[in-house]
Amino acid sequence: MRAQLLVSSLMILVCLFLFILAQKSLSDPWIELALDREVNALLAESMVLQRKLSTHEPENEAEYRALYQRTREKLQHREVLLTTRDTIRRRYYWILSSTFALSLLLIAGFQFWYLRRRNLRLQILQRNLEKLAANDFALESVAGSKDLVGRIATMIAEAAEVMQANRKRLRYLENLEIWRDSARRIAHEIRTPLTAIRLELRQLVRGVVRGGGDRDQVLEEKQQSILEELARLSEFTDAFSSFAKLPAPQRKSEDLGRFLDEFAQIYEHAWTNMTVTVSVPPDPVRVSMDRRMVRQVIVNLANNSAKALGERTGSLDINLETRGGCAFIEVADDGPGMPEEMREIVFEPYVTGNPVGEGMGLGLAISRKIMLDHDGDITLIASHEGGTFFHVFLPLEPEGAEPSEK
Amino acid sequence: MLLPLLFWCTLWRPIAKPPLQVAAPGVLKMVLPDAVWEDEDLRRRLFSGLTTTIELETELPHRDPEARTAFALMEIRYDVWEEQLLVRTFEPGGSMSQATLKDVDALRLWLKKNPLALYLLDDQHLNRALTAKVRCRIIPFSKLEQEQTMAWFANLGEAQANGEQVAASRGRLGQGPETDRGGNDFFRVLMTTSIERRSVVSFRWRYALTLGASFADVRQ
Repeated sequence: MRAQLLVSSLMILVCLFLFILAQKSLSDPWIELALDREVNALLAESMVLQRKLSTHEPENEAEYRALYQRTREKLQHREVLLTTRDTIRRRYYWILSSTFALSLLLIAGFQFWYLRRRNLRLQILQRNLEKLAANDFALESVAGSKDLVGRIATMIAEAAEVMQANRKRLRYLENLEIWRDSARRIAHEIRTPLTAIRLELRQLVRGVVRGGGDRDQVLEEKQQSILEELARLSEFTDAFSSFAKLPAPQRKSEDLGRFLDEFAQIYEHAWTNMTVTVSVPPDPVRVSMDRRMVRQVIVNLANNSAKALGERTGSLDINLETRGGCAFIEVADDGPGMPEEMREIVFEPYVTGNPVGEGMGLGLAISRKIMLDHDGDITLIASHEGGTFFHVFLPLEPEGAEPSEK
Repeated sequence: MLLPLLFWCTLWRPIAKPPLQVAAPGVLKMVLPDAVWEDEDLRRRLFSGLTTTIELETELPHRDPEARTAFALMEIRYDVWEEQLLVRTFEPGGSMSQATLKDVDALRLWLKKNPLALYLLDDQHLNRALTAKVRCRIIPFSKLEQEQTMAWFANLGEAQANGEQVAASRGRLGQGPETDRGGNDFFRVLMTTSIERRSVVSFRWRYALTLGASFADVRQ
């Protein structure tokens, strides 16, 4: 902007200089012509002649005298102008140059104002486009809509509206798909034991009707089978209950490093296809937490990693760090990663990458609820073909605070 | 720095300092030197038909600040019809005299006979050494002529715009009166105010006077 101003100022000066040169060369001959000394000399001569003529024609003296007076007046005015010619000329140049300079300044000022305004509006357009790229539809308004920038701004706003509507529609369809999927899973979870119970009951009725020596044994077997299926149904409803009625955490002051060390010892061989490694700082990391619930979070993450590995073998690295008043448990696996479309909705309920019949997709939703209840959170940092990386964080206890129960 | 100095040197014309006279009862007088009248430029101006004004400003020490400076004026106009110079003088104290003279030589003689009163001395100036400063300015036209020309110049465009003089030519050109008047007023005022009364020639003289007990006892 400063360079632009400098260039404009230089251009104004050059224009002014050229104008003064041109104006001087054009005006000087006209001023010289208007105030030609020879005209004055001729007027003076004519006055003398008029006087002489009056002596030759005394009868016309009055006429000559009147003519003489008029000539004298004109000569007088011209002589005064001639005497002040330089001042008049200077003033004339000054007025014209000032007017021209003022006009140039006005034009330059307007141009400067216009460019500045356009730059500001373009910056708003840029910010709006950046917002759109970040899926933020709260666009800033751009003043004026008739010029090109205004028209582009209107087009961007219209595009944003369409994008927002499409995004809502897409979200609705995604939610619908999630609910349909979860409905399928629920139906499957309920239908499987019910079908088994029905078959067992049919066989039980046939056995009772047919009779025989081993009737009691059959009855015992069928009863056992039906009870197992009913227990499976009960387990399924318990899973729902645990999500719906997740208890408040019973928080205690704990050393998170020690807790993770203990976790590594207990769960060292829990997953046959995955090695668990824990890395913690030497100093105690004190947080207020419910051990049982935080363990559930870590186990959930480890279970997901182990499931994602499938037949392959892999590793799970759990690393503890402290920064910015928080304790960060970094959980990273070297699995295949999760599908891109799942990454944004991974913490929503009933979202799962497992086939129907292998989980309801409530694990991460419950984990997040637990961490939020601990004034912390769980976030997905990255997920790609090289693995998945989560951050589980908890606020650190203030230094010097007495370990207490909450 | 050098250019204005060179310019000033070309304009500067040395002229002999005219003597001061102290006439009774304490009137400081002067006769303009002949060299003034021999100046070609002044002669041309004298016969241009305009009223040439010679202004003499005299400054002497005085307790009263208003009494320190006195002005004497001489207006000279050549009447071409009558072929004579009309001279009027205005002196400190309010005295005015006029004369009709044939030519510059007659004017010179008249002035020698009637030296111009510059300053009225009083008792304060007696018995002391004084420094008198006289400044002579030649102004090429009178205030009346200035005003008349300004009025004529100011009315020039207006008269044309009213169609008093050039209606026919304007009609041919297809211009309306508004076209000429539009935006001209401001320009005309600025141009009209450029007609200023300024001296074209100026002389400065400084005198050391010592007055005795009376105005007759004076030494230069």
